Parts: sequence; structure tokens; C-alpha cells
Amino acid sequence: MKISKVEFQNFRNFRDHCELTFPTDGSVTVIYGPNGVGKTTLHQLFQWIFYGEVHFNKTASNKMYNLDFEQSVGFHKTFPVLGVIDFEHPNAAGVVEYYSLRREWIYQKEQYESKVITKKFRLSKRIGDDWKTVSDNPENIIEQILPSGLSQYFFFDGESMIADLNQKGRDSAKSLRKALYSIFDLDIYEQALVHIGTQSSGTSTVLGKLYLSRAENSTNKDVIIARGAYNQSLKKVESLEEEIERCKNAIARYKAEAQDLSEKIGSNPSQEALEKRRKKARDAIKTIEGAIQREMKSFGATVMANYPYLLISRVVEEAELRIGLKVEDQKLLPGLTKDLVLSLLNEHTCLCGNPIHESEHAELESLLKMFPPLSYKYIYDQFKNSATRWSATYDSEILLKHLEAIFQYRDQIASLQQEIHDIDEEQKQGENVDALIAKRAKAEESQRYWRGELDKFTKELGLQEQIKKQRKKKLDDLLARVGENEKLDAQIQIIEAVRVYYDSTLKASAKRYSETLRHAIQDLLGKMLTSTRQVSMTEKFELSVRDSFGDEAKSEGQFAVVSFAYIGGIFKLLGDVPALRDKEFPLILDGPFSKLDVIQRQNVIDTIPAYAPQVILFSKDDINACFGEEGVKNVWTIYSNAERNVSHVERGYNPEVFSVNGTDY
Amino acid sequence: MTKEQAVDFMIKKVEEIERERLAAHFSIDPTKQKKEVVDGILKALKGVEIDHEDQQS
Amino acid sequence: MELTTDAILKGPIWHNTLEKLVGTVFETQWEVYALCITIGMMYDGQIDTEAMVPADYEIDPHTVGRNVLGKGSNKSLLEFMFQSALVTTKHLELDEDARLQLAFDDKKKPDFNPIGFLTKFANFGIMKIAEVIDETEDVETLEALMTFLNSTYESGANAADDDFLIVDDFP
Repeated sequence: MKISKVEFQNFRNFRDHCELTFPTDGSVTVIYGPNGVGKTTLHQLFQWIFYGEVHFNKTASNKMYNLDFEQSVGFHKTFPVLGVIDFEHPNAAGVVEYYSLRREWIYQKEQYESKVITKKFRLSKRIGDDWKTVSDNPENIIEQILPSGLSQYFFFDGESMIADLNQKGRDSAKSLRKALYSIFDLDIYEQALVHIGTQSSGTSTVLGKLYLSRAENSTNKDVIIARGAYNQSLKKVESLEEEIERCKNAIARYKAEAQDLSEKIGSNPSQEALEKRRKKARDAIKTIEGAIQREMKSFGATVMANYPYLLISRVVEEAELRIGLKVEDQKLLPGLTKDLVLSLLNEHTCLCGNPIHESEHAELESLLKMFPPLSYKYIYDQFKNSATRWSATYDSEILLKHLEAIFQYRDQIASLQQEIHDIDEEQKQGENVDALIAKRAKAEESQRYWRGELDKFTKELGLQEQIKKQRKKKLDDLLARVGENEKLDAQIQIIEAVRVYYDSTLKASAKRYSETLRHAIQDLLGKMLTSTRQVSMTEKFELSVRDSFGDEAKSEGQFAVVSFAYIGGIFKLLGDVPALRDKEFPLILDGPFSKLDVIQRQNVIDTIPAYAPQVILFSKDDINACFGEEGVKNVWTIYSNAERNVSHVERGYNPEVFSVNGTDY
Repeated sequence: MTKEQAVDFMIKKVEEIERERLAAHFSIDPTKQKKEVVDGILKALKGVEIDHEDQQS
Repeated sequence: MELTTDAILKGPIWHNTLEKLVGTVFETQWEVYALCITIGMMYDGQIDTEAMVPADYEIDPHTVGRNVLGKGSNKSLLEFMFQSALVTTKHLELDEDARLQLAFDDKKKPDFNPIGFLTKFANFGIMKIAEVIDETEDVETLEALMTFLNSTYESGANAADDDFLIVDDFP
């Protein structure tokens, strides 16, 4: 199958309706998104639509809807979470048909938490221009098209693989074994072997029961005694096995509890740390309050440096308006002094050499009257000039900058007060770290206790197994001598043969598949790495990669490459399986490109398109250039708001989103 | 039937029973489920008649 | 200008406004006093000091001492204000020449107390200020002051057309 479109609304980060289209011609699609914007959510969306399940980490919210969307809904009202995938899938005759798979969960808003009230899941098929419903419960159909046992490979998370490879890849091996056994029906053989058991495995298995039946049918006294003793041993062994199982479960439970508590302790700041943060915030508020006080006084200083003079200048300017001061009518030339006027009055010739006439003489007389002691008009003139000079300096915004500074300080204080409020809430709501530490210590103590019990029961089991073995041998000898029950013997032989068949088939299949996968991974690694590495894989699918000195790979970069080779290898393996050979599966891969060096990255990207008929890559790193000069043709980019709780997707490549800003892109 | 035929028959029968188990036609309780499977195999085995000569071999 | 007295600032409006502004926005009472004089001059409004005190008001008046008034730049500003007031106020029944002589002849002494004269303007000014900053705190007080000062300056002589403060309106 190939996905042509995904459509969604109100799915976790993605509040608004969104649609992404994908080519089905084999070209790669890249979806870019930095950490935290919803890349993993979008990656998980596909699985939610196909299988109705998501696998988020422990710290993520388990709510499927967008919290912002939920807030906008009225109490008791319903709202949907919607996902649709359109895909192409060939029919038995190889003709491509077009389908649309729609999953919708209807929530009802309640006081504390909105709850799912209806779940809808529908598969439709395009017939001509119409869509016809194929099924309202298409789980089995989807299982045929995209087996859920392999979902973690169709929707591969490279980062998780790296984390597991750091732990010897045990979880990956277990998952892979489970998935492959399920796909190839090997789990049927495995379970058959469990049910068939062995002749010494007691009454819960076929062979065990058959063996005991041989003993039960005999009337020989010795056989009866020996059978009784053997039965007793069997019961003892079975009871010990149950105890051991109980111990193992308890150990696993307490181990998980301790791990969970460790995570909480690690992510939970101690009371001391919270108090430190609180004090820091309080001190910062004090400092800013001081700054506000200084700013207010600066305001006052600016007022005093400007406004008295400005106001006076305006008053003087408008003297004529106010009291009809007429001094304006008579103005002295700048630089004209009383002495100069007096001396001119005593002369008949001006300084320029021209004679001073009667009219000019009269004017000089009137100018003289402007000087003290006759008049102070001249001095007023000077006074007014200096007073009104202030008006030119008026700036209506001179005081505004003080206010703006104070507003900014207030905003900073508000943020800090919010931070203190949040710290207070954290202190109230979060469990006391000391209590968590105590709980963890208790869980570890319980683990130790149950390990002790396990050791005890295991030792005893060993002893009882030996006793059982001896008693069985005695019974076998007696039964052989007695020679009864030929029919039972024949039945035992048949079932033994069946057991051998299943066992050898299982071993051969496991060997074949693990070798095929190993070979495919080795081949891909050879293309991706610049150094030589030897890949080995056990029949349980445990993977290891070693250099020429036999040292295992340890670096995250190498693990990253291995993770790509791993998924490529799995797809190759699926393609080689007869039952799956004609099926096409898409690969939706969240790849750890950041951990690859430049050459590795190019090599990995060169191999990726061949993994599957359709490849959709999620990446937080810019890999556009690895796809040649023209880059990736089909690109989408995820964007998020500052709080990282509302995201959307847009078509196109935007190199600006990769600019490093102290944030992790 | 011969022993070989009986073995072939039982191989198929066991597989059939296991598939039925997977298809959840058996009890949900794992212990009960195991008992049902074992009893089913034994029942199938009981119905197998082996030629007398083959019983000896 | 001869400083013969302190500036006496009487009444609840002076008291409350000085309490609010001195130490937070302005450093000293002198600053508030000087600003209020210029505001009073802008509106050409005067209020007698005794009119600022309601009956049974017992709190002591605030003062701006002669020594503060006579300090360097303070005295220059006071003289500047005095001269401006003399040539612009309607509250003096003097002709133009008499105003100019009184303002600019150093030897001519007014037959009134200059400080008392200026304080009447200040009384008017403090009423205006009290009016705009009443019921404000912190930055809102500054905002109100800023808006008031700018609009007063920009309105110019029209400020005198503002609704005239009725002296009896005590808070």
C-alpha cells in the first residue's frame, strides 16, 4: 500500500485542520520539525489512524485532543479527534484501488477530564467518483494490508533503536523475534512446543501426560510406588516453578517501580532547589522594584529640568494675549546698547558716514526711552528672548521613556511573580523528593528480598529436578521391564516426532531469517560506513556490530547508522518472504540524522529510497542538500507556537527554521 | 495408518489447534487455555489408529 | 528679589500631595513648590494661603525655608518666575511700565511679599495637580502628571479657559 494523503484535526499538538499529501511514485517525502514542535506526535498519528494506538513516552500527556481546542468547547459539549489516511492498494489482480481510512474519537467535555464517548473507524473505497463504505470495523482488513505485528517497522523510530542498541539491543531483538514469529507463524510452532512439552514436564503438557498415563495404567506394585514418588516430585517441581515465576514477576514489578521512581526523582527538583529558585526570583523582584523607584525619581528630575522653564516660556510668549503687553510693538535691534544710542544722539553723522536727519534723530530719542531709567522695555526684550528660547526644546515624549522603562520593569516583575506562583504549585503538587527516595529504597529492598527468594527456590528446584530425574529413571526402568501399554508408547513416539519436527523447523526458520537479516544489514552498513564493521546476529535476532579487532561499536553515531541499516535490512527480509513478497509496505521513518557525520548522512540517504516503495522521512536536521542540487521535491515543515502546544504543518522547505538560536533544531 | 502418516496427521492437527487458540476460540485464562490445547491434542491423538506392525517399530 | 520669608504651604491638599510626591517622584518640597508656581502662572490662578485651610484643620503646614529658596539655582529660578509673573499676571493692577520697572529694576522693591505672591500661584498649581493625581498610584501617577503637564503646555493661554477650580472643593 502507498499513502497518498493524511488529514487530521485536533490531534494532540495539532489543533487546526491539516492535510499533507505524499507522492506514490517512489520519490521520498521529508517532514521537518525540531524537537518539541510535534514531530513525534505526527509520526504517531499514522499508527493511531491505522491501529487506534499510540506509544508516547511516560512524561507525555495521554490526552489525544489538543488542550487549547478542548478549552474552547463548552461544558458537556462533544468534540472530535479526527484522522484520515487515503491510500492506494492493489487488488488480487494487481490493479491499484483507492481507499480512505477514517478514525474519529468523539469526546465529551466533563468537569475534570473530557472522556471518549464514541469511537468510529471506517474504511471506504472509491468507486468511480463516489466513496463507498467497505467496513465500519476494518481492523482485520488493515491487519492484512499492514500487519500490526510489524507496525514498529513500518513506523520506525530510529532514536528508540539507538537507546536500545546501547543496551545490547535486547528489546529490539525481542520485539523483532515476536514480530517475525507472528508474521511467519513461527509463534504457532513455538507454542506447540510448549504444549507438547517433554515426558518429564508433568501433567500440563501432552508428552508429560502421556508419560504419566503409562505409569497410571500399570497394576505393578513397584510401578505404583515409583509412580507415586515421581508424581510427588512432579508436583514439587511444578510448585517450585510457580514460586519462581511469582518471584520473577515480583522482581520485575519492583524493578519497574524503582525505575519509575528514579525517573520522577530525576525530573523532580528537590525542595532545596525549588527554594533556591524562589529566592532568586524574589531577589530579582526586589532589584527591579529598586530600579522602578529610581526611574520614578528620574522622571521627577526630568520634569524639574524642563517643565518649569517650558511653562514660564509659554507664559512669557503669550504676555500680549494675557495682559495686552504692548512691548512687542517696539523692538530693539540685537546688539543695540544705550551707550550707542546716546552717542548717536550727540552726533550729526552716523557711524556709516551718512548724516543723521531729524526723523532719525526722533527715532533715536524714542529708542532711548526703552532703556532704564525711563523704561525697561529693552531689558524685557532680552528677558523674553531668553525665556522663549526654552520653547524650542519642548519634546512631548521626554517623560514617556521613563514610563516605558517602568512598564517593562513591571512586566518583568509579573513574570517573576508567575514563576514564584509556579514554584509554589510545584512544591505543593510534586511529591516530596525525600519521600520518593524512600519509596525507591523500599522497592529496591523488595527486589533484593525477592531475588533472595528466587535464589532459594531456584536452588531447591535444581535439587528437586535431580530427584525427579532419578525417580523418572527408576519408573522408566520399571515400565520398560513391565512392558505394558504399547499403544501409549506408540503415541508417545508420534508426539516425540511431532516435537522434533516443530523444533527443527523453528530452529531452521530462525536461523534462515536471522542470517538473511544479518546479511542485509551487513550489506547496507558497508555502503553507509567508511570503516569496516562486522555484523553478527543470533538466532534470537540479537544484533552486534564489531570492528576488525572484535570491539563492539559504542558510539551513538555508529548506532545511528546501524539503526538505519537495521530498518533497511528488515524491509529487505520482508521482501524475501514468500508470503509477503507481493505486498508493498510504506516506511515512515523518524531518523536520527543529527547523529551522523556528513559522509554517513549522505551514504544513508543514498540508500534510503530503496528500502521501501514509499518512504516518508521525519527529520529535525536539514538534509535537503543530500538529495542533490534540486533537493527534496516533497517537503513539509512543522511549525509551533511559543508554548509548543499548538502546531501546524505547511508545505515547503524553509531553511530559516534550522538557524541555531540556542535552541535545538 | 502408518506411523509416518500418524506423525504427519498430528503435525497438521497440532497446527490446527494452535491456530484455533490464536483465533481466540479458547479460554482467555492462560492456564485453562493451555489445558484445553493439551486436551485437544491428546483427544486428536486418541483418534489415531496405528497399524499394529508400526506400533512395534 | 529679596527673600523675606519662608514659603508656607498650608492645608490638606499640600499635605497629602507632598506626602505622595516627595521622596517618590520629586526629591524635595522645593521642587513641587516651584513646579506648582509655574502651573499657577500658566493658568494665571491664585489662591490665598488661608483659603487652603479648612476649619478645624490641625496638621502643621509644610514650609520651604528661606535658605532653600535662596540657594543658587533655586533663587535664579524664583527670580525668573517672579519676573515672568510680574509681566504677565492679571492679578496686579499695574500699568505696563510699572510692571516692567518692578520686574527689571533691581532697586525697585515691591510693596508686597514676593514669596507670598508666588505662593498664591503655587496654591493654585497644587490644586490642579491634586486633582489629576487623586486616586492614582505609582506609574499611573506619573502618567497623569505627564499628560497634565504636556496638555497644559500645549494649551497655552487656552488653559486659562479651563473650568476654574472652586476653592471650596477640598478632598
